[in-house]
Amino acid sequence: MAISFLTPSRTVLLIGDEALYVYKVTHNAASLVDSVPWQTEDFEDFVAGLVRKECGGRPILVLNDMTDQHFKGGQRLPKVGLMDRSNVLSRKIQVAFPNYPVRGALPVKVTDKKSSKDGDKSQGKGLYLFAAVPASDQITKTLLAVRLSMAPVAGFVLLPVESSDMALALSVKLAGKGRKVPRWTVFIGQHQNGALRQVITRDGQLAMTRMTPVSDADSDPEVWAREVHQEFKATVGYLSRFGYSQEDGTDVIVICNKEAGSALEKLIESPCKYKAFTTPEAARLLGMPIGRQDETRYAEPLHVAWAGRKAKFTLPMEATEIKKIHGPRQMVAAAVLLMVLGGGYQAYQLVSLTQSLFETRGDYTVQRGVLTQAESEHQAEVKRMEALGFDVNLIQGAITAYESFESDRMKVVPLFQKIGEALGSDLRLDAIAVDRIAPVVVEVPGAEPSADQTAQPVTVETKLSLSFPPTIQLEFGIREISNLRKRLAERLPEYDVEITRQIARPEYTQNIKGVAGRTAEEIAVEEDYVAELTIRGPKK
Amino acid sequence: MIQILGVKRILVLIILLAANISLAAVVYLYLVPESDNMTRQLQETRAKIASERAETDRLRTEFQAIQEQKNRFETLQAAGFMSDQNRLVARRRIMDIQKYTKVLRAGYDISSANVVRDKAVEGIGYVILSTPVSVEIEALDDLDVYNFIYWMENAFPGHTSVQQISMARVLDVNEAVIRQIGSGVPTTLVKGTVDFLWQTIVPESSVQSLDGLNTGEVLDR
Repeated sequence: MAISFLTPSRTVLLIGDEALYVYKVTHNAASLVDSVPWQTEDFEDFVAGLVRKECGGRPILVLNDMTDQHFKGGQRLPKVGLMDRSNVLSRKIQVAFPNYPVRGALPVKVTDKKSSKDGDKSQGKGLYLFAAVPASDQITKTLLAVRLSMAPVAGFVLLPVESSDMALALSVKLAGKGRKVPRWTVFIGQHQNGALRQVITRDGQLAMTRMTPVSDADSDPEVWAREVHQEFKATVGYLSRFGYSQEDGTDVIVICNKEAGSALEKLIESPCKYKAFTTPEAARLLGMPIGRQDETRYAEPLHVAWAGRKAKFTLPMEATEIKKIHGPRQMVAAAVLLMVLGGGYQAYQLVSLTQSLFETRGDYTVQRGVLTQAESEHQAEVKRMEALGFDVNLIQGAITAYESFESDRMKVVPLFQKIGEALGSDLRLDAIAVDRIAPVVVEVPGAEPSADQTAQPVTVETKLSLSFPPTIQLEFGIREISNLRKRLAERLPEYDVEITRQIARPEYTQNIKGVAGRTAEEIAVEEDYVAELTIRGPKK
Repeated sequence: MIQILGVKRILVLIILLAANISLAAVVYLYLVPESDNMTRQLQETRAKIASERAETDRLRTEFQAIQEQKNRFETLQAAGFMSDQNRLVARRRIMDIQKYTKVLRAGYDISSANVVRDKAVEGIGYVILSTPVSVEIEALDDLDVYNFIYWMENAFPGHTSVQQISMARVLDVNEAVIRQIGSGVPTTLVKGTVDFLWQTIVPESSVQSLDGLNTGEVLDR
């Protein structure tokens, strides 16, 4: 049995031929709330009131136990794709029961040994048991009551179909671990209205069901046993049409009081395993608590408790009226679930964000304190700086400016010193000119000069001018100038030194006029004995 | 629809919907923006703390360096680097240098100062006063001229740097010149022109008062 706290708690409306039985099924009891005859005035309102007040508006399971139930077995579906199967099945049920408002189809598992031996496993595929309930006043009234009750609808099911697995479960319990479960099980139980419900299963699946009127067991157990025996014999007679064989083994399970059970056992002659239970005994065997029952010989509480606690029904019937009620309520239930989940998520977000906000606020308060401390430390440092007696920024700015000027200074005095050394004691300058050469800065539109460009050392151009007396030998003068250039280059390795004008070597840029045919002295006076050197640097 | 669903179910639905909307409003209209705002403020505060601490560390590190820089600053201050380029002082200093270096004559031309704004001093509310100074020198020996340049660069108030030098020998040394020198007559053998750039820094607020500064060509012997 299912775990108690996961067991569905439902209201079961058992539709009988004479009355509607309202049961409240909880995890530990299946109690009859009331039986309402169909002729009751304001039937729907009364039942709806019972569902709301007595049953607490629990989800309703409509369990049909009326005589008028129709079954068509062995219905085979043509081979169709998985997508089309439900449409084909629906159409086939409609064809099978065109005028019945409540219909359903149950896939049949074929466990026929002959088929298995032949290897024809496909024979069992696509076989269905079709079931239908005709339109009736009872069904209409019940569904109207369901609608008025405003309770959710769990489903509409047929009692014999839903109880077939209960018969199997009892059979398995009776067999125990060591014994093979018989193929056939006949479950017999009398209902409060006097009807005897027989549920016959083959291999755990519904093979046949019968409902016949019998006398009450309490009045005369012997009479009751004879009547039931007659019905049992009739059932076995019917079963022979369904391939019943005594060799397959049969469990006969009867719900009645002890005297009636003993009387019936004596009457049954056909080979079978017979067992009679009271309702609480059967419930105990099934491990299914049904609570205290006033009458222990009626089987209804067993059927109701078994079907009412199912998580998944064997054959949920489809009905337009049920859909009309169930569809919108299911949508609302889904919407409620969605909103509960959404609300839960948002509540989680609310709690989480609130917690996060509080933590952040706390952290912020702490950090503000830390900031105040950091600011006071900074102020203390500033005050310490101020205590030095001067403006730190002024010092740094002034020094930066001074260093900037210094980097722009032409270092002329050391240059003159080196030039003096290179000249030596024999040579004298006529003139010296020092000028700065503006650094070449490649301007990029929209870009400021880079630090490298602005920090370039100042380039200095120094022009030296020397003259020799006309009496000097020309080669000597040229050699002296060349040697001077060499000495300057040695002493000023960072500078470029070049002779821009050698003595007696008029450059092509000069204009020359003269008269040929003069004396050597006259020619010497006219000759140019001036030399010029240019020192450019320092190199970058 | 109410007959199928019932008032209670619809009420539950409405209440749940209202609860969801209310929760969403609280979460997305208040908590999320408030949380974002608070997180931003927290980050800003942390950034400020980091900045303050870095600045404090910098000040601590610089404290030692500043003490060392203080001496240099005081030297610069004493050397008139933060002076308003008093022309009278400049004139006297040139005369002093002329006498000390023994150049025969130094004619100077101090132009009016240019106010230069520079990034190095802009932040401290100072500007640069930049004055071109041109000196025409006559001397017996070129060494005197070099001496003059050296002292102009090192003994003039503020910062002075040579921009251009042009110097030439005007007389050859012969017997007549030697006799003239020997008789005590000042004889110019070397003539030259030296252009300097005289720079100091002054508070920007004092620039207005410097507008009427007297500058001009003053010749002195």
